Amino acid sequence: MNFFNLAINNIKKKFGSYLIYLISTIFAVTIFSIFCSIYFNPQFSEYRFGAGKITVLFRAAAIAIVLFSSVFVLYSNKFFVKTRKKEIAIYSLVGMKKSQIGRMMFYENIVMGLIATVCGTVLGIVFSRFFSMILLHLMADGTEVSFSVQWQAVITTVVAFLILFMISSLNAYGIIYRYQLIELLSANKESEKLPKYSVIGGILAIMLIVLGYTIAMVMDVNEGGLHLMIPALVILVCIVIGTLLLFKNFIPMAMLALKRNRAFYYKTENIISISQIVYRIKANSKMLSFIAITCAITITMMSATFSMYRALGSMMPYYSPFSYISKNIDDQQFNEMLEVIQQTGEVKVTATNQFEIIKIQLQNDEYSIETENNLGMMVSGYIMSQSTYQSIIKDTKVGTGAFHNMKTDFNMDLKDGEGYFIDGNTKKDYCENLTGSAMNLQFSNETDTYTIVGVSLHKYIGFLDLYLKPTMVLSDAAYKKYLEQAGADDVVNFTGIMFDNPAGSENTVAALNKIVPENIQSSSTLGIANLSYIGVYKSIFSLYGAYVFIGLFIGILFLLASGSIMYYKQIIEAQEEVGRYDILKKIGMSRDEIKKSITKQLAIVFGLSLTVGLLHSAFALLTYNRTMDLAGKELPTMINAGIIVGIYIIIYCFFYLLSVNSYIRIAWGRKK
Amino acid sequence: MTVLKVSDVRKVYGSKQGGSVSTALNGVSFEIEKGEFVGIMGPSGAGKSTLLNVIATIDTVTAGEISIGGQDIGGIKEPEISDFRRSKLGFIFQDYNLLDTLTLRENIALPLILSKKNLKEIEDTVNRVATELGIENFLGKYPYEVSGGQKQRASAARAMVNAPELILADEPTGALDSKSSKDLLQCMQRLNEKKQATIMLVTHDAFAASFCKRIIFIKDGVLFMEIFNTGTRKEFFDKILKVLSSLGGDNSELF
Repeated sequence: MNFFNLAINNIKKKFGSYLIYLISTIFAVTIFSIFCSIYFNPQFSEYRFGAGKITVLFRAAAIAIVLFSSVFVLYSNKFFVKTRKKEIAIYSLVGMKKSQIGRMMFYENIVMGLIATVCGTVLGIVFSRFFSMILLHLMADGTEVSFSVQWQAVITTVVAFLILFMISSLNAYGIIYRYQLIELLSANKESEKLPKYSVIGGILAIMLIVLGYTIAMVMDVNEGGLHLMIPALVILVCIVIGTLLLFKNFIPMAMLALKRNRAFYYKTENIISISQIVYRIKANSKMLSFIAITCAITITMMSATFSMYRALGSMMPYYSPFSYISKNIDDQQFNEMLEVIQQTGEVKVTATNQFEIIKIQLQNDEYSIETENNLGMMVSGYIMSQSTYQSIIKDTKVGTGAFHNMKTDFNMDLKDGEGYFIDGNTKKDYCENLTGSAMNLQFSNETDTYTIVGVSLHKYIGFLDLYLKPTMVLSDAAYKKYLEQAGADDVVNFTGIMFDNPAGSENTVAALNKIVPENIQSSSTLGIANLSYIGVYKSIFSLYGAYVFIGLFIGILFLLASGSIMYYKQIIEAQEEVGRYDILKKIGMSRDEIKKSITKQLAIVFGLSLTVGLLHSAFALLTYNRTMDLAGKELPTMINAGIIVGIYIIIYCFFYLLSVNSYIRIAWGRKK
Repeated sequence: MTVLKVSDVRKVYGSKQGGSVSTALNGVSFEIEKGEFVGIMGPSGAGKSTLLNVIATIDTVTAGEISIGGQDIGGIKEPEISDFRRSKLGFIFQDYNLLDTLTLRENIALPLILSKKNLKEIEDTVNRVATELGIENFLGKYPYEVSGGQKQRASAARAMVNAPELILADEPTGALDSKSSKDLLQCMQRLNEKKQATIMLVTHDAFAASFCKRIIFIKDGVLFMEIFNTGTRKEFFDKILKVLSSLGGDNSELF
């Protein structure tokens, strides 16, 4: 019998104890394989909207998944090898050479690695179709996913994990050389002394976390990306170090304080659980901090992406209030368009609106466009007649509200010399105090002054032409004066069409775009002359759908991985505690009492990291909510976060119950 | 008053699975009265551990009956068995069996905590018992911080803190040096004499056994002989050695 056979035999005979390790490694391979399949699927990489961004997103996510899988596999392997130290020692005692033991461990691990790689890759291929469909659904694209095995994905997965398993097998090979025989024999008796805690560390932990939270709450989120980097990094460092110190010092301190309260501590279900937590928590502090931070990241990421995704639908009027709008269309083209819509038969036209606005220069002493911050500057903008604005409000069913990108409070009858100001900025900072002030309109070298009687942020034609360009609404008579003087270049004509079901207008829009090629004029900010609800919808959802998918995907990966790490840890601990529970049994602790004690002990351990994680994510989400000034105030990020937290807690609880169950089974042993 | 009554107890291993059958106890009967300090001796494989286990309710008998304090222990089922163990029995083991996550005070208090006694009663009882055993100054320490002798005395304190009907001691001096052994045995002797504690000591060390008032010898699963301490400890010690040599066990392991 050679050592390869011995290794194979070991796996066969003790398959049960190998199963947990196998399952978690197979899981890691499967996740990676699914992700690779999607990553290498040409359907996604060649996606027509924002393809570049999706690829970048997926690449970043791939790196995160590779890192996480590696940590997870190596961590599982460490635990797995730890449970076998005693067995290794016994082989050594009966006279097996170190090199033989090393080789046996190596074979064993590599065989398990190969099994995991094969199973994981196959499962990955099977499930990737399902996940691709979810992704495409989120990206609001109805096309079928062609199911094909991505060889590139298979090869990447196999190579990546073979390397990973080679590293972990080498680690297993080396274990016999790294430890003394006595250390291996008493592998489970490590850290038997009561750990010491530092009070300063405990105080520092609270201070760092409070500091991190405070910075998060007060920092100016409206500054540009780079300005946010420094506070964000400071917060990250504060929170990570603070969490570590919290679990290392503060929580043991708090537990010791609980211990001093004897009336509480001297209870059957408290004394065992708390004394064991006090004993273990410092050694486990790194793992618990890791779980807490992973939990915070997962919940924040999933909540943010989920709530953004849910918000997108209600954000549509901001981007495209009309179902279809095009610029400078003549009557012949317009009739042709109506005909095409009817021919396609997909949607019905509920309203059409042909209107014009006039290019003009505006100046107000208190006004600037938000990217310039230069009060009193001359701004390019438009004027529009009162009746035109009223018809747009009616056709696009605009809601009533002040200082809102999708709402207006215009309901007045403008007199001569009065104007209603529609700001092109996204925030109300510059326009909120303009009511009552004078707006100078400069048109063909003449300047007229109008009093502003109302302001709004309403983006009445969405993305088209309005970015950072303000509009003055004038009375029909005043407007007519300008129209008479205006040349052909000064007037911009729009044709807006409303459909009864804009979300289902894909074919119609495709047909319309043939009549009005998207690139006939590139005067607008986005370089398009016509804009459709469905077009914007698809381009937004294809980008954010991928974003949400990655968020959810990584979130699920993090959640399952942290759950199984916790489970692992508890199993290992249970095996170390068997002796202790034996004593307790002899002293006369009943099964129910032991069960209660274990349930409580694990509840504290699982609950602590969850609570800390939830607290972190609450502050992260509050800050995130502030950055989403457009959507955040309107949209219930916190309700969406609540849904995510609920799901998270349910799955986390599943791991908790699983751990309690296995722990009791191991601690109580066979029924006697 | 009879504390322990063992009548015709048999224990057979391995019969259910149909493999090789071995008889550990083959009809053992004896009684222990309240306030007795009884030693159980016998060569390795005589059935000492089995006897202790069945009395301790950790194992069950194949035939026969054991009653403690007048109650037949064969009829007790989970979960009452745990209650029974903690109210009627106290254990002292060779390897102390203290929980290393608890201080000596907490270890000793454990049976009282399990019995849901109030805080004051717990603390008073623990202090009193610890003083009796001379470990009152080490109560705040963890097991790894104190010597083997102190650990074993804490273990003894835990065994008797609940004032059990019967204290079972399984080779309590096995891991101790001779000085600590003597201290512990004297403690147990004092407890037995002053507090009327009933103790059953399983050992194969003649020195430890010489502290008992009576010794029951078993061999090959049956009761072999019974001797009483009628004179000094030295005389009793010599008497024990004579019985042991007549038992034909390997005497070298006895010293």
